[in-house]
Amino acid sequence: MTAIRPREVVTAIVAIVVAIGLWEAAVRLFQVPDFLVPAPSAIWQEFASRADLYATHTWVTFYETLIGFLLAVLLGIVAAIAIVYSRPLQNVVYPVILVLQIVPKVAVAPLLLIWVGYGLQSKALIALLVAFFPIVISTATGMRAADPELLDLVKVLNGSRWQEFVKIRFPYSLPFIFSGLKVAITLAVIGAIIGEFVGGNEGLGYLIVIANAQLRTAMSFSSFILLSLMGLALFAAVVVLERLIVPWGVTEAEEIPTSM
Amino acid sequence: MTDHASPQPTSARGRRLTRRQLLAAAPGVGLGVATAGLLAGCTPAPAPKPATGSAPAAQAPAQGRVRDITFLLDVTPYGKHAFYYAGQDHGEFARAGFNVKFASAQGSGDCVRKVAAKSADFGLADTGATILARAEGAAAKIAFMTHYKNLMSVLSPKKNGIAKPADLEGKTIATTAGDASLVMLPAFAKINNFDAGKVQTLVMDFPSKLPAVQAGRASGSFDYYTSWPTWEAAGKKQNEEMTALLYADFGLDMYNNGIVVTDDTLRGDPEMAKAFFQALAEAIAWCVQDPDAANAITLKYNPALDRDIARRELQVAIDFLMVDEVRRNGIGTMSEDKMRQTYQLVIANYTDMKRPVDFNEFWTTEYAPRGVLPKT
Repeated sequence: MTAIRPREVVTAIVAIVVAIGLWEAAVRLFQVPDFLVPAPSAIWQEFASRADLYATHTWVTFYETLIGFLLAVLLGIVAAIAIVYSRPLQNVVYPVILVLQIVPKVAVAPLLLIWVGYGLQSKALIALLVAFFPIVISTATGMRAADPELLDLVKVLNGSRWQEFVKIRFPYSLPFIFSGLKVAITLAVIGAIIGEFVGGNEGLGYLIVIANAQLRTAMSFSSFILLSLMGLALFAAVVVLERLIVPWGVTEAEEIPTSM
Repeated sequence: MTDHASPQPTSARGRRLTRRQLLAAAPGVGLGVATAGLLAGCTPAPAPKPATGSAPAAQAPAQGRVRDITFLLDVTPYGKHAFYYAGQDHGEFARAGFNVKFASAQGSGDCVRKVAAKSADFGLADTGATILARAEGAAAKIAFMTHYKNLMSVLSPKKNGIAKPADLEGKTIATTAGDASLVMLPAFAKINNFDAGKVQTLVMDFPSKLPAVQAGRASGSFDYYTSWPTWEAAGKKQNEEMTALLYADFGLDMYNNGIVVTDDTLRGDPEMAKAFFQALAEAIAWCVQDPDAANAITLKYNPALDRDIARRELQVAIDFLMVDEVRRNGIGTMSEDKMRQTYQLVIANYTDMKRPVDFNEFWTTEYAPRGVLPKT
């Protein structure tokens, strides 16, 4: 990733402002009814009139996403270690993970909510289930990608498996882990929203469901925008963390998703 | 609406395309809004369907030609929808020159919105949702009634003790967002002297309500009484007696679902609308006469449905159709008194409507037939 230049930022802002201006003009010019597409001004009015409500629900979705994501990171890395270090465990864990990934979360979500309840836990659980897979795969790939010569060196020097893990495999896999985390964080947001769509009384997904039922498109759009901003912020946080922890691997990691 | 016989006027089509392009483009403007929209499964505008809605309604029916139209059911098909399938399968629509395709909306609000956006020609939707949609700019109205008696209810296992309205206080009730029975709860509470504020709600998707209640996550469910056969059957499996609290039994009677159609269609092609409603009324009359045969048609369209439950759902729809008013005036038409009562209940409960909706703008009896009744 290259450093962001001020000129690029200005261009992006100008593009967004022009796009919003065109959107507003088009809605007014063609008199598009609100229930189809609201004007940006109407969306802003809707948001500004109830900013505290949006803040509360954004916080709920953020919290669910973050908990689900953090659990996915923890479990994902542990599962990847198990897969890489133990053949028998790999044979047991890998199919389970695959099945979990293939089962459509949207279809299972209603059942999960009935089992676990309609509160925070079920939303975090779905976020976890959706975010888990890319973390396992990227971590396992990273650990297997460790330089064989370095691994041989550890053996030659009579290093323990623990030393091999701490000094070679784990650092080697960090850029891969972060590429998985970047995919996972965006998926975790989707997971939390899937849960909120199925049931519950809180979160941006809940607001969207209510807005749809009441045909309040400006309310839906306000929620979409907040959701997008929240997703972007979480993604940016992972990127910043990546730069802090693995400054050497950032470029590599950027290239991984296309090659996987 | 697509008329095979005549070309589509360019001006109207041009305008429509412009709007579509705009709709397709607008959500994508800035900030990844489109992504969030897809994610949410609810793009603001219905996806354009090539087969329908591309030409305006303002076309005269071509003599001897079959006209393809789309009818949008309010929700995923079940037993009560025999009324509409029957028209297609039993021949009433064909005789009137229609070939009807069916699609499902996600609730009444979604249905009105799609009809207003001309993704479908006719739709089945709740009167209250139609009033609300009008306030939001959807130029569609109710022109034919099918659910005459109020179906709004609270369904629950008997052991949870919801036998009378006041029992709802302190209970958690499962509901879909914007469920008509939930929206009308304040009016229902007022008539029956209990505090609607003491009823807790838990919002979830429609299929989750029954299992959530059976799993004890909620005490009961806001529902249309057409769901009753499913509840009864699920209760039997668990040796659990179910009970229904019908709003209509406790003083709250109002019109529910009818057929919505755009103002443009009614204005531009009144004869087509009249022909369709005549055919629909005749098809419904036939369903009342021969519900078993009508149910077989529902099963033909939806083989996955349970035959017995679908048949009982159809019976509920028939029972809530064949009220005194219908016996007097026929299937489809409406009375001003009851519509006024419905209107007043709705506007009293949707307190934050965007603009006031006039009593005469959201419904009409001009196009529904009079006197169509089942043969006795």
